[in-house]
Amino acid sequence: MVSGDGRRRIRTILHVDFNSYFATVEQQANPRLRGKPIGVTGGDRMPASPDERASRGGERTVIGAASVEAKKFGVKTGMQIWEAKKLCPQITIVPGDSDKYLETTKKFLNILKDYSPYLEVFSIDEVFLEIPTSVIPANAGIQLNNSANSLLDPRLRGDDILEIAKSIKKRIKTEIGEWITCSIGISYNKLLAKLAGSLQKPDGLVIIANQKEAIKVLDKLELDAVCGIGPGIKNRLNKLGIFNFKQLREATLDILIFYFKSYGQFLYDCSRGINHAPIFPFYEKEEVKSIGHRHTTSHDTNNLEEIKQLLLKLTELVARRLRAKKLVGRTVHCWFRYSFHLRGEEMQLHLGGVFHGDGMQVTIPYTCDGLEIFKATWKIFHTIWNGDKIRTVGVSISNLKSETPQNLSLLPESAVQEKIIQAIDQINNKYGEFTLQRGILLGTGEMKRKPNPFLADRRFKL
Amino acid sequence: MGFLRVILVDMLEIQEPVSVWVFFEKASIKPHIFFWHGRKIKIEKINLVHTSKDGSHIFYHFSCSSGGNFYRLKFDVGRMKWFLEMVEEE
Repeated sequence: MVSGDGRRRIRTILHVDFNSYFATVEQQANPRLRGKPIGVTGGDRMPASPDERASRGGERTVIGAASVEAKKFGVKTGMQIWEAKKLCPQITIVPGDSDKYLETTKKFLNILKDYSPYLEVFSIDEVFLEIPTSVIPANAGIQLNNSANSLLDPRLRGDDILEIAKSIKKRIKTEIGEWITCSIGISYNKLLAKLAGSLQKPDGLVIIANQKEAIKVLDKLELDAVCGIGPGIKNRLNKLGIFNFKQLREATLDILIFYFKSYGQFLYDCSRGINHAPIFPFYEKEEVKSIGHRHTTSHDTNNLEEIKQLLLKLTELVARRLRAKKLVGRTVHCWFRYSFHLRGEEMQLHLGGVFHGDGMQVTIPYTCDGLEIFKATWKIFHTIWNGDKIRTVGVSISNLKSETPQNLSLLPESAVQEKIIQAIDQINNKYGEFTLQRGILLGTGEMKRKPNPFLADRRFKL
Repeated sequence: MGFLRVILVDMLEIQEPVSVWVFFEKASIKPHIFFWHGRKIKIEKINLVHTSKDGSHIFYHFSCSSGGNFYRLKFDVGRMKWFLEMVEEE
């Protein structure tokens, strides 16, 4: 926390995390769901066929969010519906509604921006907020505020920080809904603010005021309790004989860099409660790295015509978003997951079972034309598909750059094609997705765009 | 003409045009009473409001409670029409 010129910069960072967000919002909207175990699903999924329901006792989609009450039964995000019902037979399944959640997120962002412009949207239900702090000379003693040994901004008394946090919670209840709760963690960097928030759920408020407290907290936790250390890294650390943060602190920086390269610096720092990650304010444009869509089919299928229609729709959605952002891309990635039942044999499933599938990517000339993206996707699909039934398919495009004015084409067809696409976009923008669509897609079901939970490509206008 | 779809055990998704008495206050719109199947239903609480879009059409959705029942009303801004879109009653 000491900058290079000898001045000390003290930060006060809040991490606000909504509890069981989608489920809580549904319970806020419909009081009849409050206090009950509910699971929110992907949304406009069609129910499984009667045979599939009979064999597995449930729909094909997964739980996107489980309520606090459902979590007590062991229901988790990502679980299949039938798995959730096995754990909690009385669970109510609620179709997800992405418009509702996005609108609610916008409301709470509008509240938070009243406290500071340094607001980073980490995901649809998590936000970092940095309260503006001061830079003070390194030789100016730390004035202790009401929180003993606090290294938070001395101009901000401990009571002030708590008052800000309590004010945020109160405003969420009064301006958004009384059922909606959040956990707030407060500390001197992002890593510890997020960790503090995770320590008390639901409706928590935890402060980690200084490095001494941070180390005390870290030493009680598993390595993967910290954001940035996942099961894979934990496993690798365990293989080195490191099972907790105390042991991690005993490893030298050289050893950690040897085994983990530049990531070793992160491990060295986090074991000591150190993290210099800046806040990325919502108003700063972040580069979009890829755009993609996926869809889980209403029934397992190996019907080529059906799969073709599905891929045409997905590639059209991807292309529309490219054009809306004035981007073009060149690396097309297509992937899919096979059905659970392969060649008549039932896979051994366990809770949180893994899908099997395949994927590949190809690079084509820069494009934002759905048909060109489809052609590449179709080629990939035929290359890697073995003919078995599939249940989920996805398409994405990466290697993006800004669209530049096209040179005048010697081929009049290219100019006409571009005009047609522009006209179709204008009509679909006004009257809804797929108002105008390719003839082959007539009669296919609706496919709505669902928000990326991490809001990778959606900027909020406040 | 509305359509009916059962989306939960007790929840009905319908899209029936309804008449609504509305308050306009503090730059917001608040449905107060609506009329459905010969019944006059007074809204006791608006629990959540959100918007959606279809092309350039904007819709306001009001998740409401009355007498322990749940109703969701939809206001089509472009066509200035109200619909009862979801019902869950005892």
